[in-house]
Amino acid sequence: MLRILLIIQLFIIFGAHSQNDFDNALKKANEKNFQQAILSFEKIAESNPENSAVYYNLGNCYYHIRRYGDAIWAYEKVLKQHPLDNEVIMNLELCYKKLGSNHAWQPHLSGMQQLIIAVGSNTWAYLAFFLSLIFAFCLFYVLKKDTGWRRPLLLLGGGMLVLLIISIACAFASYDQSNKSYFAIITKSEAPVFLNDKGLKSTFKLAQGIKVAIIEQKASNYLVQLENGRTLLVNSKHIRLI
Amino acid sequence: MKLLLAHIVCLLSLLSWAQKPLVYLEVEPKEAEIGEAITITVKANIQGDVDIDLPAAYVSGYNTMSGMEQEIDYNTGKVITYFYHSQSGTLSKAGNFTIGPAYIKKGNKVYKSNTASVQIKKEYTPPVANHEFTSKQLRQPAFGIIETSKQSIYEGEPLLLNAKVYSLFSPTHLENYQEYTLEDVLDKHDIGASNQRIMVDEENIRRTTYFTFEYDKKVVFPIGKGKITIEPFKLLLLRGFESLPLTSSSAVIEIKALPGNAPKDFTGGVGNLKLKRSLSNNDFKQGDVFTLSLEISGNGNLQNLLEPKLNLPQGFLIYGDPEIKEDFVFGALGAEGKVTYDYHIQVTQHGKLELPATTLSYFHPQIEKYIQLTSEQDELIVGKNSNFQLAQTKVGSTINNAVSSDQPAPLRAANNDEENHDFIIGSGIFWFGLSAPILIALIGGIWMRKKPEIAHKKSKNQQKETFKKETELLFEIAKSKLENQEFGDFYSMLEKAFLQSIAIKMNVPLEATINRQLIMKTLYEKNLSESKKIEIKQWFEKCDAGRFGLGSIENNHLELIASSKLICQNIDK
Repeated sequence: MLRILLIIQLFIIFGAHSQNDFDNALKKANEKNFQQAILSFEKIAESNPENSAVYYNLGNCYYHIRRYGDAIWAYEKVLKQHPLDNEVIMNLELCYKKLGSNHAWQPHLSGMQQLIIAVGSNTWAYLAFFLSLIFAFCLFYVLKKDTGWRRPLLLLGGGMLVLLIISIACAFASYDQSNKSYFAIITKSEAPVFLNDKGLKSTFKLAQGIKVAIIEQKASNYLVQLENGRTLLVNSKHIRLI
Repeated sequence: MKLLLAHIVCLLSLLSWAQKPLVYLEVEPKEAEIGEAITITVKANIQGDVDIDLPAAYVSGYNTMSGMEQEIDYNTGKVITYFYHSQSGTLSKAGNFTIGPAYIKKGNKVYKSNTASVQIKKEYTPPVANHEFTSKQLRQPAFGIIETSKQSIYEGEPLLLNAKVYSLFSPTHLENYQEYTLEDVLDKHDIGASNQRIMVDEENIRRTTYFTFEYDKKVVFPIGKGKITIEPFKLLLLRGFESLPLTSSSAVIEIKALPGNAPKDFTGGVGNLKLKRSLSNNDFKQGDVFTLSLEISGNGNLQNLLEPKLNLPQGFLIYGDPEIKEDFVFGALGAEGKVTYDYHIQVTQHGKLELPATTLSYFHPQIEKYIQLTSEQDELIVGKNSNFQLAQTKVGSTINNAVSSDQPAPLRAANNDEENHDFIIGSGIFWFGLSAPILIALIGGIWMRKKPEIAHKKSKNQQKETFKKETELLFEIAKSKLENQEFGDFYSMLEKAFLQSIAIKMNVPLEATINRQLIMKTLYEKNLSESKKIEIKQWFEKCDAGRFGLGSIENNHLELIASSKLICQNIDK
């Protein structure tokens, strides 16, 4: 019992501490001390990667010091959890405008995928629990045999099973999207591109803010794919995984 | 004979000159750190192939030397020849290691040396000031340092860093480079040529020529105050196919906070800056919008400058945020170039208007002072425009409308509800929550379905048990009837008991009336062997003979009971 109380206490202390850190970082940002605020927000993001407000503010701070690539990365991190956040999308478009890019922000997920992620894996999981309860109820009464509702119960149970499978798939898709990095943002202006692992540079360079799909990591480089399907090697220093 | 004696004398003299074989192994230093070079020397008075037992953590170095030396033994006056084999290397783990023995193979004979132990401590890379080399570093075949342009800088001031390698051998290339790291430094920029090639130079340190090269040049802009440690870089230095792992020393930089008396027009600039102001046009009419450009040039932290605030008098309105144009490159002095801020301003009054000078302060790290830059002031002659109507906005303020505002949406407060966004899927709760109701329903449903069958089976088993007991009782009654000489009752009880016993064994429905016809029919249906059927028939005949013959012998009765039990026992075998 004492141990449980201690754990609860530690949680409260930790929670209060992280709230304190957040407030301090926010204060620095409001004082236009953006670099210090960025350092603080980055630290909070490391310990609490689920808090989208941290990434949002990080994006704003990066924006103010004109590091638009990093700002785009931070906003994309928010969209990973809340793909339908219009404020973030507007900020992203502002970043691309500042970069002088004709490239308008495009979501890398379809509308349906965005909706699945926006609902969140926990909500999908709760829905799956509810559906499994209805399915279990139908299963029980069908197996019990002495019921005159066998046929409607079979139909209801079948429907619930299909919905259950769909909600499990959605829960995992949402979980997968928010926990794995499939995309990255080029954060350096004119990031060099390599032709091989030995460091042979291409004359082609990637502009800041470009979103690339991650194929695989090769030592200190990432093999990435551009929107046009071209694959390239980029140094891990020049990109940030979403 | 004389010849033989001469041979013996010669041989004896040679034997007296021959030396006792000596193989000695030595390791220097006896205590070292991980990655620090140690030298293993094998000294022997015999020449042959040298082989040394080395621990698995031993990493062979470049320096391998062999040679010979002659010494005079002053006791005997003899000249002794010693052969040397020395090699250097490093140990990659901490602990006590035994080096050796060394083996010298000469012909068919192998000579073994002593062993030597060496204590390896964990690596300690003390911070090293520029161009100060420790004795430990100078003992190494190669070492690395982090070169810094300054030991102490002001926050925001550019600091030039690069990795520098010193090597006793001429390296051809390097691999597995892990860059030096600075915690809490956000603003880092690579400068110089590609990091993939090394340009080797020569440098003399304490009368030793070292091959040196610089690598991974960066300009960083630390913020905050206090001491920051630059963590060492690591690399694999190669000469052809031979490689040497190398970890550099760390470096410490002191960051000084900017003086507290910052002027109001300080925009965060640290370096050496200049200010230039220009207007897009000189001919104005009331209501015209012109562009005021502020160009801040020079070197320092140009990339981190905040936009200067314009304090305009009445008659001017600023539209939105300034457009920022950056034109600088990162070099040894930080960001070198210019940043231009274009403000769009509307003239709202007519007549002779004065546009006051714009001031901007920056911190000069060399003279350690804030310096204020002032632009020239402009005088504007604005023509009257009777069609112009002033918008309902405070004069001199900034108009932020949807078109011109380039500010992102405001900062957000913490949302603690979002913590552990995916905790269900990531834990076992998910599968448990899903499978538990389904499993319970499955087990419960099947159990409910089987419940009557189980109950029926249970009652049948109970009935069977009762029937068995009844049969046993019948046998007992038959025995008591026999004792009372009531032969008629004895036979009828015995037959009933026998039939019931067979009925139990053959699983005949116990509700049915059990008689000989039913039993025989069941035996035929269950394909009982002919011998068993005959045995049962014979038993019935004996029973009938006993019951109706009236002359039975006592022994036959007991035999009949015994045979009835025996038949029942073996009926299903």
